[in-house]
This record gives sequence, C-alpha cells and structure tokens, in this order.
Amino acid sequence: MEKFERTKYLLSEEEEITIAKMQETGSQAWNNLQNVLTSTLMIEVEIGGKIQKLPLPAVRNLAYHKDSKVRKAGYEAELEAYDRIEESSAAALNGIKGEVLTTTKMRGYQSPLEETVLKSRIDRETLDAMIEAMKESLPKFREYYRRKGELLGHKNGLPIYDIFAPIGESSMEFSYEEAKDYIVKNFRSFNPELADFTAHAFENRWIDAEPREGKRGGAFCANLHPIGESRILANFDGSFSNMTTLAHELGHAYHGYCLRNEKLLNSSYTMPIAETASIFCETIVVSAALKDADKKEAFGILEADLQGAGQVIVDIMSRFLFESKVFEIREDHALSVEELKETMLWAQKEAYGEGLDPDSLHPYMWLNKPHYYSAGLSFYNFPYAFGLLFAKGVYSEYLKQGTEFVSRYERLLGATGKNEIKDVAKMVGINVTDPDFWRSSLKLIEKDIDEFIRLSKEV
Amino acid sequence: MEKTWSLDALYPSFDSEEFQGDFNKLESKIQEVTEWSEENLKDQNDLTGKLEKSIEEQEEISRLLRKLMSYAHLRSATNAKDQDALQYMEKVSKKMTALTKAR
Repeated sequence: MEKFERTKYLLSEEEEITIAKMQETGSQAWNNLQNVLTSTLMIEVEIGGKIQKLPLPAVRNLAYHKDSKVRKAGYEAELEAYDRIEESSAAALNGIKGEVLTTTKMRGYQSPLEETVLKSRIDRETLDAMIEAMKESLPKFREYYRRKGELLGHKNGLPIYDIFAPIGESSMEFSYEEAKDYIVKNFRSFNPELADFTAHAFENRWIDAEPREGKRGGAFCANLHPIGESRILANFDGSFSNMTTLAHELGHAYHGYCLRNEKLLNSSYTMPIAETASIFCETIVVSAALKDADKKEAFGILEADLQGAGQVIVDIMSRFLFESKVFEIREDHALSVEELKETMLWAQKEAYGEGLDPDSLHPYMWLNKPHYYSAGLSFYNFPYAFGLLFAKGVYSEYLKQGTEFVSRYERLLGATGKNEIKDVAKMVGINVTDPDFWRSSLKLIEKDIDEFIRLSKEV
Repeated sequence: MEKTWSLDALYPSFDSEEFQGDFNKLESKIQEVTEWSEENLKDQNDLTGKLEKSIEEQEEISRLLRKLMSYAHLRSATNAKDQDALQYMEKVSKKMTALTKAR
C-alpha cells in the first residue's frame, strides 16, 4: 500500500533516470565538496597552554571537556575557522536546496517537507501536533539551560559552548555480570518475556561486550531476521551510561524478536519509529536507577538525560525552523553567507530563548551538520524528536495502563514493519494527531527538569 | 559468561560449505529472476500470479542477501582488518547492484 502510494510521485522512467544522472553531478557533487571542505579543515586551538592543530570533529568534541577554558577556546577557534570555507559551503547548500525544490515540485509534492513526511509514514497533522506540543515545552527547557548556566557561573543564560559541559558525574559502576543482572531484573518488572529474552541474549553469545584492538567503537544492534536472532556490539567499560546503552540495544533486539513472524519484506520500519523499543527499554532501567540512586548520583543521571533530551527537542526545533526558512528564502533567491548566519541565529533564539546567552550562539551550525547537504534527507531532524517523544509517550501509556499494556506493546512492535505510524499507535490507544499525546511525553521530561533544579540546590 | 559473540548461527566461516553454498545460490537466483523478468514482464497476462511469484522471489533473495551481508558486516565490526569480510561485503554489494539493474 505504501509503495503504491509512493508511485504517485514517480515520474516517467526517462525523467527519473535523467534526474538521477544529473544529481550525480548536481547535489551529490555539492555534497562531496562539502565533505571535503569539512573533513580537511584543520583548526588551531590552545589547550593547556599549547597550540594544537585538530580536525573539525575533534575541535567540536572539546565541548565535552572538563575544563571550561578548553570548551570556550574550542568554540572560538571553530567559529574563526569557518570563514575559510563559508562561501563554498553556502554555494553548496544553495545548490542542493535549489535542486530539492526543483525535483519535489516536478514530482508533485507541495513542499520538501511533505516529501519527508510521506516517506516517514507520518502525516502532516501528526507532525503539526508534535511541533505544537514541543513549542509549548520550550520555556521549561529554558529553565534547565539557565540553571545549568548558573551552576557554571554564567548570569545571562548558558553560552552555547557549555551545553555539553559535564556536571555532576555519575559514580554508579557495574561489572558486566552486574549490568546483566540489573537489566534483567528491571526488565522483569515490565514483562517476564522481555527479561527471559534478555537473559537468553547474554547467555547465548549474542553480545560482543568489550573493547579490543581492531574492533569498532560505539554500539549497535543487528537484527538477523533470517535466523530469528540478533547480535549486539558494545564497548562496555562499566560506566552507568554503558549499562543503559546495553539496555537500549537490547530494546532493538526485542523489537526484532517481535517482528520474527513477519515476512522479511514486512519487517523494516521507518526512522521515526526505529527508536521506540530501544528508548523504551532504556527508560525502564534509567527510571529504576533514579529510584535506587542517592541524590548525587540522581543529579548526574538527570543531567545526562536532559542534555540528550534538550538536543532532541530544543536543538531539533532550531534546525527545523532553520531548514524551513532556508527553503522559503531559497524559492526566491540563493542565500548569502550573511543571510544563512542570520537565519541560524534567528532559529536558535526562537528555540532556546533566554535559555542561552544571546551573545554566544552559533551562527555556523549549518556548516557542521552533514544532513543539510543531502538532497535525499531534507528535514532529517524531526524524526529524532518523534522517536524520543513517541517512546516516552508509549512509556507513559504503560504507566497508566499497567500490565494490560504489555501484550498491546508487543503487537505494536510487530506491526511497525508494514503500517502507517498513526495506525500502529492506535493499537496501544495512542492518538498521535492529538497534541495532548505529545504533551504527556513532554510532561515526563518536564518533571525531570523540576527534579534536576531541585537537586541542584541540594548537592 | 562469554564476552564475545558467536556468529556460528549465521555461518561457521567464509570458507564453509554453508556460506559458499548461499553465496552461489544468490548468484543463480539473481540470474533466474533476471531471465524470468525478461520472459514474463513483456505482457500483462496473469498479473496477480506474476506479482505473487515476484514477491516470493524478492523475499528469498532478500533473505540470502541479509544473511550473507550481515555475516560479513559483523565479522568486520570486530576486526577492521578482516580482509575476507571486506571483500565479501564488496562482492555482495555488487550482486545487489546487479539485481537493481534487472528490475
């Protein structure tokens, strides 16, 4: 059905081939240029009295540094370096966004946003409901940012370079064995089948747990539908966040398990819903940990959680506003560097408001996010917000419905490969076109913000 | 508790009969589908039957692709220098491209 719907927007074979070929030397070529520009940009930055020459991603990682001087130096060096590539990047962005406007119009979409919405199996009503609720929650997030700013000694809101500043470390530690027991125990309180599934995964060598030479970093889960199993790669080092990462990946595996009776062709889900099961499982263990933790630990856990949620809600809002505005202006003319910078500052002020220090925003964020430069990934931002809020909403539905919810949840996961998200959500009694649903998800985060502020005065 | 994964449920090794068997089967399946499409998609007779057959074939080929690709991908994820894994990832990708052309 979905494939059928999509053929409506296909052009003739000849036109499609022509577009694809022209894209190779159009948007794809611009995209390649942007990749070269950002991956070869070397930046000089002073760390501990010594000048170092670092690539852009390494400089951006300084935002997580313990030392506030280093964070600020990294930010300033980054902004300064961009004037070497800003004109070329702006040309690339204008080329790509212009091409997207042309092709979406040819195909009969009302806008680039409509194309993304349809491909994600959402509809406009759902998106609008979510954005509306997100906008309402912004003042609460601003309280969080201002408070974090105060804790770091800033009077006029948090400077953007301190958003990722580490405060309140979590001292909870786990051996691999303890992590397993903790996860299985807390999963069991939700659903024994999930707990047994998880124990099985640990005991039957589905998990490659620890770092070693030649092994890649990070974590992922591969669902192996043809054999009805999954494999999880992790780099477990005993920290709290590593434990929750394991829970997160096991959620993906359980999603695969719920899809085991579907045909392979009906087992792939779209990005907005891809993170539902994983975030759900992560939420189970984080909520349990918040209950078990002392005040100091709870403060650290909340701060890490809110840092992530802030990115997904507030920063994504700024990116959504920015991209919408860029398409709007691009219809009329190619944007100058100055216009791009102004538009980004406008979007950040709209989203972060008084949460951030207006004198230290980031006018060049359009230069370091690669998805702006992909013709096929317009608005590759709201699916993240959707993913987090949908998972939280499903979790708050579980808190409301109790054990009755468990089997509904499994059917929901089993239906994600072939249905519109709206219909999948209905199976657990959720109406995604109603802003109230999104408000209830955001309420959970808002409660965490209140708790964070309360604890910040005690620890 | 073992802290490394076992991939035996997919294949014991790249050299194994199972892996080589599936790899060859993928090749012949793609060949088969290509010939079948050329033969049968010329006219509009029995469209339902043809659609069913085509979906079945897609399912089978996707299964083989997923299994072979996953094995190579997972092997390389724990050892970036696994040359066999890198080579088979490329070989299987190429087969995927051949399949797109056939449609």
